[in-house]
Amino acid sequence: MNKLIPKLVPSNLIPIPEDYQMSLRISEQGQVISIGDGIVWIEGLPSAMLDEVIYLEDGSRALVFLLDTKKVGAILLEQRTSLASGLRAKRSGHRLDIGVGDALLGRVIDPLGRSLDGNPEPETKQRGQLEISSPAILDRDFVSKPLYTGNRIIDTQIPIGKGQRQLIIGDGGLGKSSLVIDTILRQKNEDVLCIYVSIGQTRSSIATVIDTLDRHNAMSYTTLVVSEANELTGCRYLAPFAGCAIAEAWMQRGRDTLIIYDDLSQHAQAYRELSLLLHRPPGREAYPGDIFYLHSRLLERSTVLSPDLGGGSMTALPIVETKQGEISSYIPTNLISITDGQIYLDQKLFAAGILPCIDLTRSVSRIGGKAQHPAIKKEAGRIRLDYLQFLELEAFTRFGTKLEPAMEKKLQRGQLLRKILRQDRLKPVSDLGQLTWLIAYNEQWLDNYPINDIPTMLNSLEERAENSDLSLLTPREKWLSAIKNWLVSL
Amino acid sequence: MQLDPLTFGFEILNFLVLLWLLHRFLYKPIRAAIALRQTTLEDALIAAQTREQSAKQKELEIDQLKANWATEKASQEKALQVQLSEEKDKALDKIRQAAAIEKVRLQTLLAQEQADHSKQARITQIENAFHLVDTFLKRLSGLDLDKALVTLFSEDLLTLSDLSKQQICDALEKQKGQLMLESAHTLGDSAIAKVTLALNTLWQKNITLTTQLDSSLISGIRVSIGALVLHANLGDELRFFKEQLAHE
Repeated sequence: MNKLIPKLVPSNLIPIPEDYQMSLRISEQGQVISIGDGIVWIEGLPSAMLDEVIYLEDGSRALVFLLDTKKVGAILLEQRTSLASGLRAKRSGHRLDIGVGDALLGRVIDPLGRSLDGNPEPETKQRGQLEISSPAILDRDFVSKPLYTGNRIIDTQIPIGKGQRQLIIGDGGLGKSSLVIDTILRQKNEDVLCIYVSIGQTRSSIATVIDTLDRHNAMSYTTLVVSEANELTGCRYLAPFAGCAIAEAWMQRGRDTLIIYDDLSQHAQAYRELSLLLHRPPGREAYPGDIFYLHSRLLERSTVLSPDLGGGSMTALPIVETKQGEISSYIPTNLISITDGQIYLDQKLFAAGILPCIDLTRSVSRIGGKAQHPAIKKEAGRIRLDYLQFLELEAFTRFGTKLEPAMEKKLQRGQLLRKILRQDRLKPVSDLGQLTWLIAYNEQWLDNYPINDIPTMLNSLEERAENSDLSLLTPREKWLSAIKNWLVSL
Repeated sequence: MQLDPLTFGFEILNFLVLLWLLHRFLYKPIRAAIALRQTTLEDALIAAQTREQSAKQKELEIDQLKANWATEKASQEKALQVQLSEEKDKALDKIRQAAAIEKVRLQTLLAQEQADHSKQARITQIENAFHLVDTFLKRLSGLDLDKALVTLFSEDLLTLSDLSKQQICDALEKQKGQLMLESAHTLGDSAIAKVTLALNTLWQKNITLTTQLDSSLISGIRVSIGALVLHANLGDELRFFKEQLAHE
C-alpha cells in the first residue's frame, strides 16, 4: 500500500478477522435539521469525524465541516430536489475521494469526478483522496529539471523548475489565464500532464479555455476540473483539492504534472463563505483563522518525489487576483510566502501595450538557475541586470538629458530587448528558440535591424532552430555559425 | 740596324715615365682596391665565422628546446591521459549513479503498477464475490433465517458491553421508547415479541415499536432508535464489508 495514502477506519467498521462470526452491529444515523446556503445541519452522528462523507437519505452527499456538541455542520457536495429536513443521514466512514488515472485525460469533470463534457462518466480504476498529508521531507528531491512555459521572459529570467510552486499575481484582465494557457500549450511532446482547475469562473470563460486547448491539440494531455461560479460553495472549495488529488496520483506513478489553480482568491472567498455560514469566528478581512493553512497544505503537496518513490513531480502555478495592484493584501501575501516565487503582472505595462505585462523588478523565482539548462543560463546571465539598468536609464531620457554614446547604446539595446521580450498569445517558444534569440542578442547581431522587423525575424529564427539538428548540448560555435547563416538568408 | 742612342735614351725615359705613370695612377689604386677587397673579404669571413658560431649556438639551443618540448609533451600527454581517464571515470560514475537511480525509480513504478493491478483485480473479485453472495443469500432468505437473526439480535443485545448498553438506553430515553423495526419479510408475532422483550429487559421500561418492510435487508432486522441503529441483517452486513474493502 502506498505509504502516502492514509487509512481512515471508523470505529464501527473493522477489517474482516479470520475468526469472524456474525453478531449484532451498532451504527449511528443522524437527522437533517436544517438546510440552507449549501450547508446542512445534522442532529446525531456523535462519532462523525471531520472531512468524513455523509450520505443523506435522498442520495445527496455532504462533507463534515464542523463538529458541535449536539449537531454536525456539513457542506453539501450534491443537492437533489428531494433534499429536505427530517431525512436520515449516515456516516460513510471514509474521506472524500475522486477517481484518478489516465481515463481523465482529455476530460472535463467537476470536483466530485463527474463528467461535464457530455461524454460518459470516466472509467477510473483508482481513487485518490482529496485531503491527504503532503510528502515528508525525506521523500522529496531537489528541483533540478526545467519546466518551460514558452514565455521568453519567464524561461530566461524567472525560470521555473518541475516541482516548483510559482505564483502568478496581478489585477484582473492582465493576462494571467492567458499565460497559463500558453504554458499548457508549451507542454506538448514534453511528457507533462496538465490539470487546469477552474474555480468560480464563468461558463463562457471556461468554454473559451476548452476551445483553445482543443484547437491546439492540448486536450490529449490535459484534464479540466471545473467548478463554476454558480456551483455549490462546497464544490468551489473542493475543486483545487480534487485537481491536486488527480495530479498527485500521476506524480506517485512517476509522471511529471503541471497543475494550475485559477484562481485561489475565489477559493479563499468560497472558504470564507463556508466558514461564516458555519459560524466559525472570523478573523482579518472576515477570513477564518486557518486561511493560511488552507493554501499551505494544498501547495505543499506540489513537489518532486525522490527516485525511491518514482521520481514524479507536481509543478503548481496558483493564480491570485489583486485589486489595484495591491500585493500586500491578505491573501496575496499569504500565497507569496508559501510559494517559491512569483510572476507579477503590472497594470501600467499592460496600459503601455507591453504584453505580456510581466514586471521583472517584482518577479522572482527562488529556484532560479538551479532548474535552468546550463546553455540558457549562461546566455541569459546578464540580461536581467542590463534590462534593469536600461529601465533606470530610460527614466533620464524623459528629462531630455543628453547622454554619452555608451549610454545611448545601452538605451538602444534596452529598447531592442524590450521588443524581443514582447510576445503574442498562443505562441509559446521552444527551448531551442529561447537559446537562438539569446545568442543573437548577446552577439549584437540584431542591433542593426529595424526594430519593427524584430518580431518577424525572431519567429523565423526560432522556426529554423526547431527544424535544425541543433540541440541545447551543441557547442556554442556551431550555434553561432548556424544563426549567422540564418540571419544572412533572412 | 743602326741604334740611335738618343732614341734609345728617349725610349728608356718613355718607359720610365710610363712605369711612373702606371705606378702612380694604376698600380696604387689597384693595390688599394685589392687591399680594400682583401679587408672586406677578411671582415666578411670574420662575420661569417661569427654567424656560424652563433648559428651553431642557436642550433644547440633549438636542440635543447626540442628535447625539452618532447619531454614536456610526453609529460603533458601523460597528464592529459590521466585527466581523461579521471574524467571518463567520473562520467561513468555519474552515468552509473543516474542509471542506478533510474533503476530504483523504475522498480518502484513497476511495483506500484503491479500493486495497482493486484488491487484492481482484488476489487473486481470482491465485487463479483459480493454479487454472488448477495444472489446466494437472497435465495436462502426466508422466515426461518429471519427467526435465526432475531434470536441473534436478542442474545447479542444482552451480551453487549456496558458502554453500548448505556448508549442504547440513552437513545431510548431520548426517543421516549419510540423505535422503528425494519425487516426484510413480515415478521410473525413471536419474533416481534422477542425483540420487544429483549429491549424492554435492557431498558427496564416498555418500548413502542413501529414496523416497516425493507427488502434490501435480504434477511433479518434493523432497529432504529433515534441516532442509533442496531443491525442484525444480511444486507447491511454485506454493505459494511463492501464499503470497508472498497476504501481500504
